[in-house]
Amino acid sequence: MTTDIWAWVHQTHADLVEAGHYRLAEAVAEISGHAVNGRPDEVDAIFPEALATARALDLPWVEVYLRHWRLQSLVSERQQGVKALSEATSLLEFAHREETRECPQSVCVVQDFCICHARIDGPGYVRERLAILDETLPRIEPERNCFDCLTREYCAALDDDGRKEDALAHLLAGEAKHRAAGGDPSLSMHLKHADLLGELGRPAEGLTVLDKAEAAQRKKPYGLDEDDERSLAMQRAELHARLGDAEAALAQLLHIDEPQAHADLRLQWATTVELLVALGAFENSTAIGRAMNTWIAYLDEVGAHRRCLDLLVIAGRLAVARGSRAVALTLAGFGERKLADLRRTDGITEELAALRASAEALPATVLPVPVADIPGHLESLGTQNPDGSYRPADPEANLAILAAAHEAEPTDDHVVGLLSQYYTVLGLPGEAARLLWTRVEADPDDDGMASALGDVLLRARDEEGIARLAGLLAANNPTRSHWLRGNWAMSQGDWAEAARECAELVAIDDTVLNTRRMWAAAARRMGDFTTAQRLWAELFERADEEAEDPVLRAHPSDRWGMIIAATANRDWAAVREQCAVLDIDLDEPEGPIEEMWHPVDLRYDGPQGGIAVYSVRTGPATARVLTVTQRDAALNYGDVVVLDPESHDSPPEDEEEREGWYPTCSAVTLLEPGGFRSYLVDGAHPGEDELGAIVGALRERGWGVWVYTDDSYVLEPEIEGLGELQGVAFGVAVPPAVSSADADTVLTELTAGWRHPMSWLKLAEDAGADTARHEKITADYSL
Amino acid sequence: MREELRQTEVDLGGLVSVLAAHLYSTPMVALRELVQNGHDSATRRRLEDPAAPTGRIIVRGDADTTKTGAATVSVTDEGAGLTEDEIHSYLATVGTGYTRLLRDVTGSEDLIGAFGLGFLSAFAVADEVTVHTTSHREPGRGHRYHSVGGETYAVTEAPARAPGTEVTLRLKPDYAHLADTQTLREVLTRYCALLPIPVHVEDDATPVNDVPPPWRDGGAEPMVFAARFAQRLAPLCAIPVHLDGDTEATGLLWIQDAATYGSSDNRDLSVCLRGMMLSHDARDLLPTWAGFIGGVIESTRLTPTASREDLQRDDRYRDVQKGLTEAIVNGMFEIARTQPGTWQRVLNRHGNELLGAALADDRLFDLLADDVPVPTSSGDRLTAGALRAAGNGTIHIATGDSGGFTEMLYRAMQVPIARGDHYAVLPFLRRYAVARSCPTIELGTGDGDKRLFKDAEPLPTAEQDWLTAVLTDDGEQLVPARYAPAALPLVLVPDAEVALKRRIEADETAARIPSAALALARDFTAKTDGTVAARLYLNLDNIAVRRLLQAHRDDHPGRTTAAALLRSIKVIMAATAGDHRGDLSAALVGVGSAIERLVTGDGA
Repeated sequence: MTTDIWAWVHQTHADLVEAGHYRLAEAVAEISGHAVNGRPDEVDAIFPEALATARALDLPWVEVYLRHWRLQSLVSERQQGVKALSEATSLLEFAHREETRECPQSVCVVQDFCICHARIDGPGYVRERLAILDETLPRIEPERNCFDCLTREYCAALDDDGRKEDALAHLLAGEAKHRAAGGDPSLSMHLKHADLLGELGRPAEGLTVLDKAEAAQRKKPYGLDEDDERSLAMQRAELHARLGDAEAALAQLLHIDEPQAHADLRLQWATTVELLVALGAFENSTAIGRAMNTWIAYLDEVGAHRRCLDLLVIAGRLAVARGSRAVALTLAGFGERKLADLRRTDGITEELAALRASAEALPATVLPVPVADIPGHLESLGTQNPDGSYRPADPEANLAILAAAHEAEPTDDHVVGLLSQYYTVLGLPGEAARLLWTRVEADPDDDGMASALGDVLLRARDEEGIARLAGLLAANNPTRSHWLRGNWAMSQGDWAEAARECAELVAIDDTVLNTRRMWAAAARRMGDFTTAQRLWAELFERADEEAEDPVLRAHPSDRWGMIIAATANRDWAAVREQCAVLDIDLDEPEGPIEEMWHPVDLRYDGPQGGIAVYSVRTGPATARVLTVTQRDAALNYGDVVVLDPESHDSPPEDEEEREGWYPTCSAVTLLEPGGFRSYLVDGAHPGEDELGAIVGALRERGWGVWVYTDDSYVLEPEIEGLGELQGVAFGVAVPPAVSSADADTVLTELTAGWRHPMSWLKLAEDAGADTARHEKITADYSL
Repeated sequence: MREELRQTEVDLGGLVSVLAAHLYSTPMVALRELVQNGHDSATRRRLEDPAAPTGRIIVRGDADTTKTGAATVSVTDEGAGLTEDEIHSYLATVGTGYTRLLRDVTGSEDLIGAFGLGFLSAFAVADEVTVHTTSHREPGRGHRYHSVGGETYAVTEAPARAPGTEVTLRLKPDYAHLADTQTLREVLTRYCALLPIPVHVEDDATPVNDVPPPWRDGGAEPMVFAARFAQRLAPLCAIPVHLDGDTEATGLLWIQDAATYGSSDNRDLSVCLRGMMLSHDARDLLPTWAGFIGGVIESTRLTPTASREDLQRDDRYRDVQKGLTEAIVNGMFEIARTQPGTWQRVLNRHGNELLGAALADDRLFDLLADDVPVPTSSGDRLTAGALRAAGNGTIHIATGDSGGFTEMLYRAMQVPIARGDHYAVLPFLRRYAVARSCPTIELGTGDGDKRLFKDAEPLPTAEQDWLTAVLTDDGEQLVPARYAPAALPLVLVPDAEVALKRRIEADETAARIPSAALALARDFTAKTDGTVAARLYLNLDNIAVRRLLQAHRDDHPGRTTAAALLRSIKVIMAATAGDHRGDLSAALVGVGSAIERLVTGDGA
């Protein structure tokens, strides 16, 4: 392989620029930096377009390049294993077709494929990884960057195989060969070198390697990029920690925000933190335990099985160290089940066994009170804040009590429910679901458990789990099944489906309130206000204001739901009835509500696009539009609209700012079109007095007027002798009863005395008036 | 008077080449240094003589090379001037800039120079430099400094002038363009924008810096200043910057009026220190997503590099970086809230780039989610909400991976489809879907197919078997479904995983992929069930399909002909969508025979 990858990239970039494909050129220039520096959003943003362009231009090499870097982002930054395997395999095939096999990055693609397997099960695929590298390395000239990269991969495989000395020897030999051939070993090579030295008990040497490597890197044209800085800091922190120098390690250790943001830093961060905890230099808190549990769940989800377990044993040992037996045992159990995902389990099996042994050696929690009293006991341990909020005591300690209680009385539903909640709080939602699944499968008729499981699954957006549970419950607990499906549909915005599920549920159980709330919301979103109003009415009939369970009472939000639906249906009596309940005073005792409340900005998203208009609220759920909009806009001056009075933004806290503030609300539907027709009047500004006069005169006639322009609207007339002129453009909304001819006459009369003529071409057309005059004005004044 | 040649106290030949080649990226910096010296000289005069006038700086250029054989530029100030001793001490000695000495002594932050290199940088662009100077402390004596090449120089007595200094550069041929007066105006307008004393080019009545920065007392309107400063990329609206604490930076940012597209990067930030431009390309202080932002800030906290053209990337730099990001985000919120018309223009100009910005910052996502337009098959002005409304409650997204059949679906569905293959559209809409509980269908993905082709109730086995027999070919699975548009009877969707399996397991692949990797790849594809290469989604909402089923139930004699016609349509549609597995000519012949049978009555 003789083509230098970066030379090819530079040439490709130049060729694309030359050919005018700037955006693809830019993507080619940028995607590798985004991938390497941990900017997955950027990779995802530019990748689809670049790929589509490369395909349209029939540039298979560029496609290989783009897909390679995106895959790098998946398997490195995002640590994906099984999740990326399909793409890794597909790209492997694509990069070896007739038209791509000579592409210099085809070699990298083989590595991506290899790395993807290393993520899934590094030790389990050692033999295959080494075989692949043995096949590839001889084809690569030692001076190439590829050689550096493959050498590191080879070391990583040996390292995964537990052959650390061999890995170091291979690295040193490879580095020497690369250098001798004129290559310049990468920072990554030195980082791997330092890492191996650390693992071999030679951390001080590792630090020296890093110092030299950093100095050399700083002299290179590009210096250190963000990823280099992070990697150096993390590697140094680990080495210092291995040396027992907690202070130096802490100075280098990245804040937890960094591993939160970059999945590839997490294992090393956890490793270092474990060392620091052992040195007594880092707080082994529930918070870091929770974070690590979340990371474990992530690695499990993306199929990075071995990494997941490697992290799990660290998190487990830390849990043991802080005396959290229940968490450690939970992790051990999860790890033991997860062994089935691995091809090779030696080493990790023993680590898990050790974890279990040390967890079990911790003193078991003794129940402080009988199981039945546990919930109350836990609540008494927490603190009631002055603001009314409640803070539970140490969640890990509570979990331990609940786990012990569950062991003592596995059938206590209350305990199971609380236990599952604590699992979720501690970043172990999978465990919560598992616990509840066991119960639900054993007894599908236990609605409490089914409900708790449904909540966990909904929160986890586990579509498959929800479908499974709903299916399981369909026969014996159909209401729960429909409720679950309906909730899922609502969360997905599938209103029709949600309404269907609710209807089926209500057909089975007519007493339900919450289902009616959900159904009414779905009906409103579908524009079915008749159904919505009926449902609210039914809900009020069935509500019990004395009920202890708030779900069974009617709330103000329900009443507002009714007001919106009834307004849309013009059922003013129903609106008034709810206003009375809510203590809203209205001017008139009956009939349509048409009052002057306050200004409101209305937002409306219609098929033609979103629109925001200035309006005046005329009742609890109505507003009249004041903006004169363009002719084809969804809303226009004079339209009466049903609004949802809930404001999009909250009023400013500052009292002074609150003075002129008014809310922005959603327009629900158009209640009564005003029938006004919009026309644009454009030309030289007649002066503020004249403009004020015409606005006043038109409004007096019942027209709408809206000035669109400000001082920045300057005209450059074509007419000789006229310099720049201040311009003005305003919209007029002509009332439905006024003919276009009459409207044309009105405007002609009202602008008669002006120094410069105004143009209203479209109105003139509709009026059958002389359009040539307006066309001339448009041309003369360059409108 | 005979000139006495003296040696400059450094190896200037080497230094000048360093200055020219490395330290300064543009020869304009030499001009900047001279103007700055003029400013410092005026400041110094006022420090030493509070009654002295403010003074001004005049820059002249003469591009006419015929007079003296070279283009010249001169910079004249009305400052303190230099005595002969001062000439020797400060003009000819590197590293002991008087300005720095004075600043150390007086603590005046108004002085700009720091490294003592400023004056000598003139030799980076000029082969000959002449200085006429009269010190305000010796108003009766004038001096002339003259040096060719800078390594040696001479100082002679000269007729006294009004206190001040005039530096004249005889430009090297490569830099003759510096003498062009229009170039001088453009460059100095930017370089001197924040300088508190007036800088004139030639005899221009108004100085180039007559629009004072808005954040100073008596400053200009922000947009007036921005328009003057931005020059090429005119501003659309302004965002003031006042960073406190360790970041301490003041200035003005603006959103540019020129449209951006996707990841285009027009970030343009100048950084000034004590009024003089330090870096005209400090774009890295702005977040990468802000490719539509221009601006200028001044800060005493940022540390210049030795060239004073760039900034050291220290902690303060990073603090300013964070502060500016905050300022932009807050500024955009403010514009959206208080200037809806302007905000609409921002969205129209930069909508595409803002999609990417929304992904990079959570608060921006909140601000933009409902307002930013998304590129669609029906133009670039629809917001996600409008797209949802137009798509009957669902946002349809074409992905880069969409098979050819989605193209056909586009046309048939007659709803706008978001262009998922455009910059940032796909990740933006995925996030929107979660934030706003909005159903999305990514066309051409397995998940999208599942949502698009909703499962219908299973058909009785006999019907399923018959339809399979009459409509499917080898490797196709018939799936009864219901989907829009109802006019579409069937869609054939190839299975990507099976296609991959077939390619990986093909014999010719073995020759290309290294064997060890291939073995692993085949391990993976072995898990794919290869029997279903494509799914035929039969639309039970379609009238033709319903009639066909009814015909089958009724044992209608025409059912076979009708089925054959539908099967031909399937093959033709698949071929149009780029799937060439079916036999197109046979399908076309099939249409002919079906019609033949129908018109001759044989079909029924």
